[in-house]
Parts: sequence; C-alpha cells; structure tokens
Amino acid sequence: MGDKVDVVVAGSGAAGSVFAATLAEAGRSVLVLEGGKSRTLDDLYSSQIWARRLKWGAPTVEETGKHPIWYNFNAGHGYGGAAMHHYGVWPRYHPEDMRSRTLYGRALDWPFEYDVLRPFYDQVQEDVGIAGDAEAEIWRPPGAPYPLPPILVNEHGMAFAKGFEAKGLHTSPIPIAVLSRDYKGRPACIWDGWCDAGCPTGALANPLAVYIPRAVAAGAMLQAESQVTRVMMNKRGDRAIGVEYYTPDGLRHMQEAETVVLAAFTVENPRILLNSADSSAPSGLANSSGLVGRYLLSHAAVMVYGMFPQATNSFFGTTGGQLFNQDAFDKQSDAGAYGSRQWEIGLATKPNDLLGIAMSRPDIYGQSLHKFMHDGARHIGAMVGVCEDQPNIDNRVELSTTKDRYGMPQARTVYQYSDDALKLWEIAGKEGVAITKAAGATDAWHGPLGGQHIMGGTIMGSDPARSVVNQFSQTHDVANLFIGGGGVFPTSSCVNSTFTLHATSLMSAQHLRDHWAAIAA
Amino acid sequence: MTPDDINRRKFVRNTGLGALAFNIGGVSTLLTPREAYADGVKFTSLAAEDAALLAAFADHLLPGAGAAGIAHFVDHQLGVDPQECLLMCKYFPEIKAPFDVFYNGGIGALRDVVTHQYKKPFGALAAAEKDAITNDLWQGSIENWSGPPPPLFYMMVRSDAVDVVYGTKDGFDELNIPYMAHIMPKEKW
Repeated sequence: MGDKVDVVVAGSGAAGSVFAATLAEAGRSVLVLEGGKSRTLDDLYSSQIWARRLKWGAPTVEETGKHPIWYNFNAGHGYGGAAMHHYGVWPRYHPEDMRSRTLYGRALDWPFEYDVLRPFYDQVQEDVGIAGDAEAEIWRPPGAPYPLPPILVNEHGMAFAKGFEAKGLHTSPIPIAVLSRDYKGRPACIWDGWCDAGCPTGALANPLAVYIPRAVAAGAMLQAESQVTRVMMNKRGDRAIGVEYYTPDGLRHMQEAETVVLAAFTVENPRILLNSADSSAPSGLANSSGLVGRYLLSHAAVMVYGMFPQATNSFFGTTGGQLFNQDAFDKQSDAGAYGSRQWEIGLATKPNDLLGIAMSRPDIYGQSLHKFMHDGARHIGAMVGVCEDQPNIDNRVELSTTKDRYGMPQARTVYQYSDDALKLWEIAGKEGVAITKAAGATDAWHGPLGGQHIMGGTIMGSDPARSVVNQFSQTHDVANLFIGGGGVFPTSSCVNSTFTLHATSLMSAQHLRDHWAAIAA
Repeated sequence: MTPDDINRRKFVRNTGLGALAFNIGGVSTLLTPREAYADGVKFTSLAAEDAALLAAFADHLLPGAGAAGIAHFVDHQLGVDPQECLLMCKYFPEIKAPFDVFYNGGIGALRDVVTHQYKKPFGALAAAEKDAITNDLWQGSIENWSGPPPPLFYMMVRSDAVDVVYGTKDGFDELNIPYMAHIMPKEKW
C-alpha cells in the first residue's frame, strides 16, 4: 500500500490532467494512476500505423445495440489518454445546449447555464492557446477573444469555402487548440498533419504538452500500468477512502486518499463504479439514482470527400480541419429532426488508416486503387459533419459477464442513435455532397455512419434522483468522489467535447480546491 | 505515372514503416516487413500456407502488397499484446481481441470457398475469378462463407495492404507527397 495522498486520480487524460495540475498547484499531494503505459512526447512517431498504439485495444469493450460507438477508435491508452490522438477542434457548447429541456421540451437541462461555465472556457483557452477568429465565427457564444490568430488555410480549405459560399453558407476559421504562433514556451504548428499520431512538438494541446507538465512541476506523481478497478469505501459506505488497482504482474494494490477522482474516460468510469458495488451500494457506487452508465451519448458523424481538379495538398494542414460552419446549429433548423449540426472543413488526410484516402472508397481495389491513391494524394478534399444525438436512458454502459486479466468484468455498451440524429446525419450527408460539388469537385461522396466522441454515463444534474453528479462533477452519493470528463455531460450538442470537458473539469477541480476542508476532511 | 508503372516499380526500401523485431534462429532481429519477406523469415502466428494465401489475396487487392511484406506484418502484429497491436482491425467493434481469431477465420473461409468453387488455390485463379470472389466478399454475397463478416475481412486485408505499401515514407515518396515526420518510426515496435 502506498502512502496516503490527498487526491488519487484514475486516468491521465484531458480531465485527469486538469484535476492533477489544479490540485497539485494548490499544494495537494496528487497521485495519478494510469492504466496504460508511460509515454513522453518523444515517443510519438509520425505514422498513421504507429498512431494506433495511442488508441484503445484492451481490455475489450463489448459494443452491442444497433449502432457501435467506436470505443477503441475514440478512446486512448497510456499517458495523455484519448486526448493524445484528438485533433484539437475546440468549439464551445452553446447556451441552448444546456437548456434544451427548458427551451424546447427536449432532452435534459444541465445544472447550470452557459454563463457559469464561460469563465472556465476563457481560462482554459488562455492556458492552452486556441487559434481562431471570434468575430468571423458568427455562431460563437460570448467569451474572451481567442488568444491566437487563425491557423493556416491552404488550397484545401479554400476549395471547400467556395462551395459553402455558393450554397449561401458561411465559413470561419476553425477554433482549434493548435498553436498558430509560439505560445508559452510551445512552438507554433508546422502543419504536417500528424495530429492523430500525437503531436511531439507540443503545438497541439494534448495533456503531455500542457497540464501534465504543470501537474508534475507542482509535485504530482504519475504512475503508469496501474489499472484502477474499484473505489474503496469506509465501513459506513459514505466516504471514499482510496482505490484498488492492479499492476501487470497481477498484484492487487490499495491506494488511500482523502479524495478520489475518476477520470478514466466515459466508459471506464461507470465500469469502475459498477464494479465497486458492495453491501452499502449493491447496484454500484454512487448509483442511488440507478443512472450510473445510463444516458451514454455519441455524435453521428459523416465524412464527406471530393476529388478536385486542382491540387488540394490535403496531406498538409491539421487533421481537425481549417474552416468551420455552424449554420445548422439551431436545433430546429432542419425540418423533421431536432438537434444541432456543424462542419469541420479541410481535414488533413494521409494515405492510410480509417480516415485516410484509401478508406474513403473501400470498394476500389487492384490497379484502380493505385490510381485512386495517386489521384487522391494531391487532389482529395475532406470534411466532416457532426450531428447531435439525444440522451436516451437505454443507451448505457453495463458490466459484461466476461472478465479481464485482473478479474474485473469487461464493459459492455448498448447504443442506438435517435431518429433525430439519424435524420440529421442523412441531411448532413446530402448537404455535404452538394457543397463539395458546388466547390468544383469532379466527384463527391460521403462515408457511412460513424461514431465520434463519447459522452454521458455519469451525467450531472441538480436532482440526485435524476443524475449521478452535481454541477461540480461531485457524486451525489459520495461527497469526496468526483468524476472527470465528458461522462458528466447530459447533452451532446454537436460540438467536439474536449474543450468543454476541460472547462467542467477545471470548474470541478477549483471547487474541490476551494472547499477542500469541507469535502476532504 | 500509369498503374503499370506502379506495378513494375520495385520498392526496395521501407523505412517509414519501422522495423519489427522478428525472431530468427532464436535471435531477435530488427527488420522491415519487406526485408522479412525477402529473407523468408518464418511465420510465428500464422501457418505458412495461411500466410501465403493472405499475401496472394492482398496482392490482388493492392498489387505489390505481397512483396511489401504484408503477411509478415500481420503475422508479427498478431503475436503482440492487443493493446500494442498496430493493425487497423483493433478499431472495429466487431473484431475482438485476440485478433488472430479474425484473421485465421477469414483466411480459412477464403480457402474453403476457393477450393469449393474452383478446385485450385487462390494464387492460381484467373484475374476474373479473383475479381468475382473479391466483389462477392465486398458485397457480402459470397456463398459458403464460414468466416467473419466478408466485407470486414476484405476491408481489413485491404487496409493492411495499404499500410505496407502506402503508409510508409517510401509510400509517400511513391505518391509524390512529403512525409514531414517529426519523429520517424524506426525503432523496435
């Protein structure tokens, strides 16, 4: 058993690193337990093949239901977690995303309004350095201007911009956590398009570039290959006293702590809570509402491609894109479907991997595939439409009967997109192809339904009977147990989740820091 | 450049994929998949006849994949921890670790279909016969198939082929686009 610490954090990704930095800088002793391997920026090889090591591979998450959530592709493993292979597209949630039930009678309300989260967005963007143009981004909610000017727009982005303009749609520089200039000791991006493989220069705001170094500098300890399996409780069952974890040698360990933060990604957090069931909490820890694992959320995404007569040079740029559009953000703007949509435009595209040139047309093979690869290398264009899904209590994480190497039940997900999300996806696919044709592409097509971002499962709310955590991501049932990450989101919006989960984690960590005596003592 | 030019071109280097640690005579030796293929390194996860069929099928999906060492690449990666695996199959919800179950199932089913339908090995089929099987796999309409979902098997082998041919520094050179690596993968994976 290790020495007791003030805070033990399960997971070293985006949320865990924000908690660790905030609390270590406040003088708290912090230990971060990461299930995957240790990693530094020097370990990030520029290769779409190597990039697969950053993603989840085991233990198996059993995906069931009508639609997969693509857990392995979206999740991460090792220091930095999923954020090591995220693309840095960081728009904000809109005020209406947090008041959907009140405004439209649909979905769920968050336990606070946008203005509560706004200063945390502003603080995070100052910390990490977001590039963008707040004025040109006409849909953007109120907030401080971006600290950095927009990123590069090359032939790729400009080609698509013509299509949007021809359709009467607006584009703006994409809000992206990639440095357009040197910033706080980190160098500007060189637009090499290897974001998915991790960014070894630190130009993209992954945890190893920003919050983990801050946490370590403040004295936080990181421990790799330490798989948290349970939250340990006191005899009364009302306070967490630490966590149980396993190391690859098969040994079981106990780490005592004054407070526990679960920041092990959206599916793993409920898995740990459900696996922590005991006589005081027979259906799982922090689960008096019965909602642990429930309201799992994802985005329905559609990739749109075009083959342009002119060179797009799409091997160049940022994987997250160059331009942005939220003209269809109004949740009632698309006939017959409720929810928001957005476009991320001009995605840097490499030859191989799931989002590469070859997989954009999986039907082509033989010499035709060689020709397609050569044509696409300099002439393909890509953008992605992201569509909101609606919270559904039946979409969930539960425990499988199959166990992992440590005897912990594997996670099983059950998921089905709402009819609204599927309709939005269909509309987006048609719109995207029309835009691409209007942009002058000689051929335009879209890919199949894909899952992007994973949220929910430990949602926040004001009513303990209808949510797992409160507005500070503190579990209703156990005061010194916090949840970090997109799992606390009650609604998905259509926007990428990483900026918002940084903001909610910062709000939560600062709350813990500022109320330490009441929470931890 | 024409497709025929591409077909004739010999890829003699494969630095961008990185070297894998192959066991040769009990000694761990760093080789690229292309080098392992050229040296005839023994397979450790796949049966030799299965590796040959995998290479032949991949070569039909993307000519040049066999010589680029696809069978050695897949064979090597099936022998590592699933978390460390570099095959794209790890993304797909339908494909569960350990991944050799998927590959062995697909290769075996392909052999059975070819044998049943044509009474000769895949490599001996005419191009039109290979096309017929390939199209049926992709369409999911192949008969007497006992393996994993046929389109999924087609896509994974095709992806592996693209990895070894175009997912490397030399593949980028072939496409006449810059690789622009921050850190070139050249160490033991």
